[in-house]
Amino acid sequence: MNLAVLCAGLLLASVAARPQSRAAVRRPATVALLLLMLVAPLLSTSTGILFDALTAMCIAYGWNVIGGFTGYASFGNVAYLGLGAFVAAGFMSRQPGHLGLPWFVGIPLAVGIVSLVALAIGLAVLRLRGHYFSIATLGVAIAMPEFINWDFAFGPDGLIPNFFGGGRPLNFPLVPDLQIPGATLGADRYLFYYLGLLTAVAALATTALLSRSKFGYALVAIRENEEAAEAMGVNTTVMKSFAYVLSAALAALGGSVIGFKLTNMTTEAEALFSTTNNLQMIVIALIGGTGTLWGPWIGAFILFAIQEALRTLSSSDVFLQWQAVVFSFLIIVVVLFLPRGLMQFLRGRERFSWRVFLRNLTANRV
Amino acid sequence: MDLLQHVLNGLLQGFIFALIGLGFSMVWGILNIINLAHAAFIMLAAYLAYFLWAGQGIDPFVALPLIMAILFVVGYVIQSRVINLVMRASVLTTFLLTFGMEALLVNIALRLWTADNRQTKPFYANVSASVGDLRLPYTQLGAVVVVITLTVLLYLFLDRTRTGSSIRAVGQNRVAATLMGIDIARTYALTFAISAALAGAAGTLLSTTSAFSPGSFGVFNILAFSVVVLGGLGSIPGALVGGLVFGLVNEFAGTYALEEREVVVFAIVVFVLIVRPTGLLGREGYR
Amino acid sequence: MTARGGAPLLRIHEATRRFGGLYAVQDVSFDLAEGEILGIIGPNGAGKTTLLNLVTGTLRPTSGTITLAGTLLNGLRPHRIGRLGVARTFQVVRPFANLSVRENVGVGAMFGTGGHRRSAGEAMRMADEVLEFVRLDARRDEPAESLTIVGRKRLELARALAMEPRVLLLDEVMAGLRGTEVDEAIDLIRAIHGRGVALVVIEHVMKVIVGVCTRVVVLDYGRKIAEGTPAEVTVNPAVIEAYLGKKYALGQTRAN
Repeated sequence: MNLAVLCAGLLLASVAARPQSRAAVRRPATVALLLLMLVAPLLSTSTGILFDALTAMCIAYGWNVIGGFTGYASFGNVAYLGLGAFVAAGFMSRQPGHLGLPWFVGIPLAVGIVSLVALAIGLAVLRLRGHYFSIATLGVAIAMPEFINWDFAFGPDGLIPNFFGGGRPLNFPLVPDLQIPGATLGADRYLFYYLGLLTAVAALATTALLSRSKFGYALVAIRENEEAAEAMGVNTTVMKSFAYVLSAALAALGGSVIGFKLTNMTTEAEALFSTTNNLQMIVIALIGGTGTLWGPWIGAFILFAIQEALRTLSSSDVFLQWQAVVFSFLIIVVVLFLPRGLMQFLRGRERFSWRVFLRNLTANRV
Repeated sequence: MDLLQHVLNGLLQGFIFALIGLGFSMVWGILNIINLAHAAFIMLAAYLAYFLWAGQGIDPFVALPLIMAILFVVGYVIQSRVINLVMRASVLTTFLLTFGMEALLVNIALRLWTADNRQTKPFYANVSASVGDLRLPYTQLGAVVVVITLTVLLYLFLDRTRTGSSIRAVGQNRVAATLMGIDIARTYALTFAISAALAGAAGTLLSTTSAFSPGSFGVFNILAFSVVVLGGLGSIPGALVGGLVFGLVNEFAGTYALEEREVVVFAIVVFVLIVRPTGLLGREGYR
Repeated sequence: MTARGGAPLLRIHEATRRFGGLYAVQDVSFDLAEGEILGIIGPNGAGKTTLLNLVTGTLRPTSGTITLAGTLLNGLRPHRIGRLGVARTFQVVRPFANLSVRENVGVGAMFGTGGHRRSAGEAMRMADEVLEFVRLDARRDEPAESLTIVGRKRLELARALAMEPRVLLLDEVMAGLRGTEVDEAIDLIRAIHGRGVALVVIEHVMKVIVGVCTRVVVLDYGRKIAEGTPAEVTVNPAVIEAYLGKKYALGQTRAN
């Protein structure tokens, strides 16, 4: 059933995304899509994978701002994903020494703090460009888990003792199921799902606002020709920094909601910083089309639809084990055959045919 | 432990770091690609060395030329068939491609060979030479000999042979090199293959000095990058200096695991990049 | 030295730029008055583009001052200088390739002088006006990368115009143009001037210098070696010597 939702959502999003379709076609498609997503928990008993897709989408939208619109390929946003999760957990936990804030305070607070951290880091790394910027951000991604385990700051005798658990699991209260007359609304199926949907919609809305605004134009100008943009009056430093912080904020938003659902931040939560997560946000944006409004939505739905399809078709054990391998292979395939994403077809300038893939493959060789 | 022993340990380690940096620097300087699959090549070599030793009893140092040859071929094929396709694409594309390849190789290794720790242990594995109070493990001494030999050979190759000169020419000015009749695609593939072979040597040496699993190697990408930036892109002596400095810093950074020390030095490196982009011994082009 | 009464619009005073031991620009001084068209000529490597980069803020002067209507430009970042009213075109024309022609110009309208008062929509409407002026309005929704070289140069001018500059610096606009294209470009430059923009024209094509400029400054090896009307400058012995080997005389035009 989840698969059906994903496919339907994909179709609607594709319709909504076509620039050459009339607004009379696109607007209803968007509304229908939102309605579909709103009623999804009623249609399927376990919305876990939809939650995953929506939060991954939010994070990919974040990457899209700095990597897609601005052209600065960050390989470190996973750091803000994980940090967001841990900071939110630190605030929401009711263990001794923690504030036990409710989620609607803890999560925004986490996003705010991570944004400040990103601002500080961004001011340094944004002075680099191209390869240097990419690998510097990669370094940030590697450094962040170490930072969280830094005894001096967060150890038992640290500046903020045990904020991240001090090496032991950090947990916060289970969210109870909601009891209404006549039904039980499971937290897993409903609350977390709607939170996930909220992050995705927030990310989509932010991107929509951005793409029509002067800020958005500044970013693409920087991407196309930074020197000319500067000469034309664009304050590139401020714009880039803002884009970087925004991308971190969206990553933190997705991450903190994911962490919230985990409920238990054990050391396995360090998997939040994994290479797979790092690459996932980029691949999602890539599949859909970087620098576009609907790209990350389409990319996330496709990726998770494939995942769901493979899971139901094959013996689940084998699939889970080889998932990472399949994913890495997928990255290579997408990079070679579909670097401009599916929007390349939706834009209407190319008809869908195998030749397009071949052309993409050989377009950039020496 | 004695201060001098620490210095020695650092330097001995540093030679392998320098070798890793050297290969990385070649691809970066000539092809202008940051090859994240470099760490995966090191990993492949380490496992090759291990299986040759554990299965056939072949000493790693004896197997080294063979492993280098295998990695050479692997590198050549990968560059000419795959990486060549994106040579003129954006940073994102080339970065993702090599990153994807690294992830693919590491994940396949995890599936095939599990995360169990391996290490080659030839008969001299825990034996050291002694000079006074100082201990020099034979495996690390052997590593130093190999690294120095390879570095000299590489220098002679680049400086004295025609092929080597054509590689340097392509690195300095691709258009001019084409006009002079140099086959760019072949040069790229060759350079990449040499780099892979150097990674192969590094992997073989590493298999003797410490236990490893597929996940141990990712850190070498950042390490290689740091070595090259510290020493200056395109400089062979720079890579040596960078590697040795790094080895020393690594040793003296205390008892942290390799990753944490990495992070501190990496932060320094980013700082250097911002302040002095050509590195300590910086030079343009490749020498 | 001002051509008309009143303070100069752009004053360059002993501008110097050094790279290590090499002086790319050395002690260059001249003024640009409101509504003037000033030409800058000189052999290749004379420092013309470097001088332009000093004015736009891409490079900082090692010494000397550059002032726009009394405001010191030294040390200001290029985007600030752009907003103060200094626009430029680039020698190697590279538009925002993946944006439409209209959007390219729109960026100028959004971030140039007065851009902060405009919304994105208003900026686009202004872009339409500018495109009509340079006669690119027919191609306005096409991606910029699909334009021919002539179209791209018009676009370059349109982008600069959308910034509502007081001074427009043109860096070898004629490069790559031939025959009637040059004439059309000259007409466009005159039309821009007619809108009240002061122009600095860096050129090799003497037809343009002679036909359009009221004054000419000659650079060689980073120094100013002559200044005057086009007629004066072309018979100046120092100038002829700098161009030794390239003979031309006033009145003789050479296609580039």
